[in-house]
Amino acid sequence: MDADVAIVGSGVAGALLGWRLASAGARVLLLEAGGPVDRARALARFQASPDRALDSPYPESARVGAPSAGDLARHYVQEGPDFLSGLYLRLVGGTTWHWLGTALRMLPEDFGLRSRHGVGEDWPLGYGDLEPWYGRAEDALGVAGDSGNDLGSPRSSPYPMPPHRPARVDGVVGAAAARLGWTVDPLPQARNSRPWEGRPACCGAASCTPLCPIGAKYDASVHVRRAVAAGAELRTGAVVHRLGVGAGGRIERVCWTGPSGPGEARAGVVVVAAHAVETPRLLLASRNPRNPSGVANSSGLVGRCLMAGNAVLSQALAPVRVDPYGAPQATSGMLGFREGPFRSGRSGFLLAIATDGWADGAPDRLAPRLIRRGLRGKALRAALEEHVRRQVALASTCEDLPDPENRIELAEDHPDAFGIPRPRIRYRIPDWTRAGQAAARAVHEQLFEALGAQERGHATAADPGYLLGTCRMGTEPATSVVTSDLRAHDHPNLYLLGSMVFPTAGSAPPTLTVAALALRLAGLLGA
Amino acid sequence: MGWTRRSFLASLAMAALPGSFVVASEVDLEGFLELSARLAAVPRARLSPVHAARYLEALRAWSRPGDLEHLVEACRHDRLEQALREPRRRRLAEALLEAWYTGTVETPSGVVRVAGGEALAWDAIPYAGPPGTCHGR
Repeated sequence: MDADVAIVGSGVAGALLGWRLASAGARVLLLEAGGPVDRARALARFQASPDRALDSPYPESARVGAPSAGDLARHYVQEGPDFLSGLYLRLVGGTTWHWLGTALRMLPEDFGLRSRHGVGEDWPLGYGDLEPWYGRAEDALGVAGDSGNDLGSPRSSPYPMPPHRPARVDGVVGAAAARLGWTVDPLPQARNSRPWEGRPACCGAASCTPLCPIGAKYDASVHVRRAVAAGAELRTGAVVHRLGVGAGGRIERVCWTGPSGPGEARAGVVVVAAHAVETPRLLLASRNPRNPSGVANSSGLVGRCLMAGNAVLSQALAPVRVDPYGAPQATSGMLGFREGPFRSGRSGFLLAIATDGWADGAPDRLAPRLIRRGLRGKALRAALEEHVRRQVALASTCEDLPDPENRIELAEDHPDAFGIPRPRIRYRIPDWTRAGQAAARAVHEQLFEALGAQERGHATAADPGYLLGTCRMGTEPATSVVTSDLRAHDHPNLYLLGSMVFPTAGSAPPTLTVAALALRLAGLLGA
Repeated sequence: MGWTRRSFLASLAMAALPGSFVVASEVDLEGFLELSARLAAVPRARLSPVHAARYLEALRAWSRPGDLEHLVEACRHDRLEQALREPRRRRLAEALLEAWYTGTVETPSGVVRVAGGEALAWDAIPYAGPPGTCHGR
């Protein structure tokens, strides 16, 4: 054997698992399609970018086969009817490079959506099974939060760091919310509120995405480095394109191509932690005479039940200054809209208060509009300042439902640069989610009314950070891909790790739950 | 949203206009900087000559010959407000301000970023800087 454990993917899932296993003495091979990120160079690329897209610091990710924010039909073959806008990075550290950093637990109710509300599915494990691992994940990532406010998810351990100070806009929106009987709560964040484990405290400049200039926001390169320091072997430029299956359904070989050239390895245990699109893509591409529908796919569900993030973005001008750009990018939100009897008919949503103003309202984006109205000199500067400092923006991400017709398939007629079929996407936003978006918009409008805000605007949009469900867990092999221990029903030594195993989405960003699952799997594997 | 920057700049190449000055055939960089400082109402020292050269080159490519020179001379002779009453030259002045405020210019191959935190737009928010910086640093 080349390794005890081969892990495909070095994002937060693979990095945490690799770190724990290597620290426990296992021989770990960590395979990553992309390369390492040099923070200074990535920052320079972003600062020189005219459009400042989410992946503009990371052009090398798209080169090994990943979606690009500027051209989502270049990697995805989009069959519709709705456009999939989810993004992920194929780099050392994965998508945590450009995540926002909100580290929120799922609600206990999220694990029993079918039994509570008659829609979706139930998880084969409950919140209580995952709770201790959430605490360890918060310690590992370094999450700052209010330990006295569990936000509906009971906790047995404190956050490792105190919460960030709320932004000024949080207080202004909070006062309006209070008049409506609603509350604003601090959002737990994987962003240092004080120096933590060799990384600095956040300086509160709303520069969290697409990368933190100083490393105060967690990204998984932290645990890739620790995995390597503990003895894991990291192989970059390794685009894994095939799993070889042997006797008894065991995964015998992990085969790769890519910038580093072809190669293969044998390991006692294989873990695919390649996010919700690349994992099913690899499994489907590994079909063979024993597994004609693809590896781990006796259920036919590999690639199916794709769930995404569908949001409502609203903006307005407050009657008072709220001073965006003076805090981390999201410090507070309204979490009371996630759960209730309404979930039998529509989704819940997580409402976040943006601290960086309007999406298209940054000073250098707003200035041309004011100039074309005839403003210049001091009048231009004054108008720009007054507008920017009163910008309020709300973003509510609505929960998606697992629909087997929403899926990833292989586009055999559209190979990528390495000859691997690109992912074909069939996706339709469920009516249940659209109803949630309508409810979110109504809440935003009520808040703006209570605020006395002007120039109100609303739009539906994708939240690119949510891609889930394509290899879901369950108790029955006929209706799921992996067990509650994340082992593939069909293969005794294959595990799948990441948001692809979620039977339902919830409205919390998936990253903290993925981290908890990773540490739990490490425990199950003996670390 | 009506205008794109490209259509806006393309509209600057229009019919000849009378001018009341004998204009220089070339715009000198210092004259361009003085014009920019006057339009933006900032001290001349605030504006980078390196950035100015990039903006000047881009605007020359889009504007009708003589228009930039006319604005520079009008600024020197304290007749800028009069010159800006003419729509095409006013639009040229707006394009110049946009370049300084956004830190970007339109080129044949697309928009190019010249300045980040030095873009004038960020002066308007004294405590903030552009994305990718910690308060402008």
